[in-house]
Amino acid sequence: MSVLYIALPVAILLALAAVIAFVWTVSRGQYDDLDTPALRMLEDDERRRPRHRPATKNETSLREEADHPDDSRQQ
Amino acid sequence: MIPINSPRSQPERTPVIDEIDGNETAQSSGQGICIHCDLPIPTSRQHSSGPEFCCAGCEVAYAILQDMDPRLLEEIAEAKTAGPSELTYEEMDHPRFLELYAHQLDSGLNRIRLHLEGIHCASCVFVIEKLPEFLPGVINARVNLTTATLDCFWNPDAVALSEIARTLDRLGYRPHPAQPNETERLYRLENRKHLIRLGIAGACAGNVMLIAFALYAGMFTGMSAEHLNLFRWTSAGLALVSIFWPGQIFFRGALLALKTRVPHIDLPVALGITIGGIAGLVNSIRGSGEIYFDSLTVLIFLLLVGRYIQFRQQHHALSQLSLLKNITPRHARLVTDTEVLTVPIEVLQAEDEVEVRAGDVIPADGVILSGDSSVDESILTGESRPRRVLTGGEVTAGTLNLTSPLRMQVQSVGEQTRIGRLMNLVELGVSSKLPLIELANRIAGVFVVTVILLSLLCLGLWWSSGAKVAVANAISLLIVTCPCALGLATPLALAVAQGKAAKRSILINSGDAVEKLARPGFLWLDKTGTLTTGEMQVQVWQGDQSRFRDIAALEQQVVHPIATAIQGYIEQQTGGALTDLPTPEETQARPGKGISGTVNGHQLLIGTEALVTSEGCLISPAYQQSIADCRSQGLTTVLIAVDGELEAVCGIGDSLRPDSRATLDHLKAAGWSIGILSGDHEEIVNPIARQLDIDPEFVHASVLPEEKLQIIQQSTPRGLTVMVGDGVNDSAALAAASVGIAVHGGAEASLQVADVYLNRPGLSPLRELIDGARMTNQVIIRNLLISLAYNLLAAGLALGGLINPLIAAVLMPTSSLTVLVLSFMNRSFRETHA
Repeated sequence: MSVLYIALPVAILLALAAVIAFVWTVSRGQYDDLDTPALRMLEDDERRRPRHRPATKNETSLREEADHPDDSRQQ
Repeated sequence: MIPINSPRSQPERTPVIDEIDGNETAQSSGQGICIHCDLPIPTSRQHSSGPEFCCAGCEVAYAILQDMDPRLLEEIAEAKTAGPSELTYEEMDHPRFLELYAHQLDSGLNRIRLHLEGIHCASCVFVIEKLPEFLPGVINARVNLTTATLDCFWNPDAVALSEIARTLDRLGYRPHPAQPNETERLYRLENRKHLIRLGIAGACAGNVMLIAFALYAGMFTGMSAEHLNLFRWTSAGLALVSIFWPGQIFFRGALLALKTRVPHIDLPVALGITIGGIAGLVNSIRGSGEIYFDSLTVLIFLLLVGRYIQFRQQHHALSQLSLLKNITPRHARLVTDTEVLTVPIEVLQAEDEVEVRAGDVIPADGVILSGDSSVDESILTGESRPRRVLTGGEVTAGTLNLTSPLRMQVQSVGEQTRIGRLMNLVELGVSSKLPLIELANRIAGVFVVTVILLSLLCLGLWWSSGAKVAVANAISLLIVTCPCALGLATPLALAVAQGKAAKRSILINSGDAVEKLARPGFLWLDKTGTLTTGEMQVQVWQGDQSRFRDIAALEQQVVHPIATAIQGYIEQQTGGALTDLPTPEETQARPGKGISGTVNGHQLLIGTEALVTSEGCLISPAYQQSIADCRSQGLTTVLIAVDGELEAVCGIGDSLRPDSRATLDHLKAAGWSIGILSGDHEEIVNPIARQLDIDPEFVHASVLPEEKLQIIQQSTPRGLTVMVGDGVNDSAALAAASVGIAVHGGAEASLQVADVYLNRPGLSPLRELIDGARMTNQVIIRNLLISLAYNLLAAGLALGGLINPLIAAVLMPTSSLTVLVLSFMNRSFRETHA
């Protein structure tokens, strides 16, 4: 019994995990737009507060929903 | 590839003749850069005072950074909202528009995707995504910088879509609805499938390669049979995943090829994969002999990479076509019983009555009910002279109404219009143009089979000397004949050439174009805008020059290419010193004939010979002669009479580009046959053809876009056909030709379907392109010969048992390196002295 019998499956499992993660990110559309999210994170969270009136709970949840659009509902 | 930074066409103002690199950036280079992000400032945003910014986003971001007061953002936003806007976007509130473009969510919100003009940096994203903060009712705004689109969620009870559009417009981002496009959605899904296949094939290939290293190492140091089996079976498992998941597209393609009995590249590839896979499996079961899984998985991965690149390129060509819809305006003025309504163009139906104001693009094909105007049809027919239209006359969508308002009855809309049908032809042309299969791809399948057979032969030859020697030699052969160099030879040389060409402002969309242009063929050229500058210019002016001020004052009253040409000439002659021109009185535009008016107490009449003589003006023999001269040169003659006396005759026409002649002479010498395809009249085209020494047999004048396409299609089977053009009327021909080349300043439609875009004025880049293509092809052939020779030699050595696997592993990359160096050292697309 060699250590290879453990190391090799572990290596394959790691690769499998990476592939699964990749497939997941692809099907979530994370590679559809490669430019904008990188810029969006530079934005200051403080400034996203609406100034005219505070956002209602409903609006906040809608915003969050809109931030993670489900592909099946896209036009 | 065509750069993405092109300003989107602005249907309301300039129908389509937008230069791809934007006059804006070109002109502004000397006029300063954005104080915030260092991008050049477009002309539309050049103010006289204060710091200058390239976009509203930078202005806001700058203000915030300058003074961290949060109210600033709000103030600026309010200042923007108060600013004037020329467009109301009221058609966006039409129920039909919302039905077509917006999407109602379960939560009661509406969602729309808008194309925005002028998005170009992080600050733009920053300010647009702030939309919910200064426009109550907008719930969320998400920008995609790559596609310049905005995904907007809004509450229809709180805010109207037109209000959102107006706000975006005031901020400097003109919105257009993005077509809810089924093909776009399918593309996205297909793209993801490709990526997943690539990911899996890559992971399998990487791991099998790692295991292969261990196996090769084991050849030298020795390896227990137990470990050998473990490695073999692991790589067999991984290879089977690779073959049956990402690799199945090759089998599907091969099956299809068998069914339709059309040879296809997938056939040898599938055969290679099958043979290699079975041989590897058999050897794994036997526990001896070579397994081919490492080469197989890498082959699958590399072929998929090539296929993905091809898929992206094809999509690039096709997806842009939806933009062609921008040739027709987004909205129309519908005449109802009581009023004139602005409606989205989709609402229009046959029999509707529509108003078209001067300067508007005509929204549909139809018949004029009332009015008398000139129409610029150059976009469709290529004819440079405007056509007069009267009541009862027919007009086509996409053309420009120049002088006075028209009422028209719609006959056909959308895809049924002439321009719509033309665009369908363009789409057909692009999609039917089969991408040339990369030479490496073509060879790969055969190569794999050959190498496997050779290694079996090697094994057989050396079997008598003992299994160990035989296997070692077979492996050496497998390693040393790695097809890397062969695979690299073509794409690398093409990629290098494309890069070098791009530096010389020649943008090559597909590598195929370079391969095809290497040998001479038939070259068809469009006249207007390609051989000539495409602008009306005064070329002959005979007579008095003292009344320039008065003439310019009168010509300023009309929008017409001839008036612009005369104004330009006067400006040039007077050194641009014309300020505070007198105001003409009693100005009367006479569509199709000319213009008259009183300036400084003098009665001026500028127009055709018929107009001037009908007003009782006599033409002296000297002027008669100059009129005849102008005619023979294919120039439009304009007569200028002051107080009933003829004072000047001018000939106006399109002038030849300065480098046209030299370029064509060079190409003719290189063996190209040259012809002209022009929508313009014979009397204009023939003098140009004579000047350029083009065989009259190959000069086609007054050809419609559909006829251009036909001529190209007839000419294609006889050999390589290259079309060079710039207009929408050329786009179908550009798409159908073996190689379509769009010249600088062309219409967006033509740029998108062309294989090559010459992003520099004049024709000399064409010469550079063709010379460069020839040199690149020499490099490709040299690369292929070297790598083939190398592989043959190496295979011979391995068959002869002269190299061991270690030496083979060292030798393998040297062939790739040779090809690499040769490709980069090639002399194509160097600066040439034309």
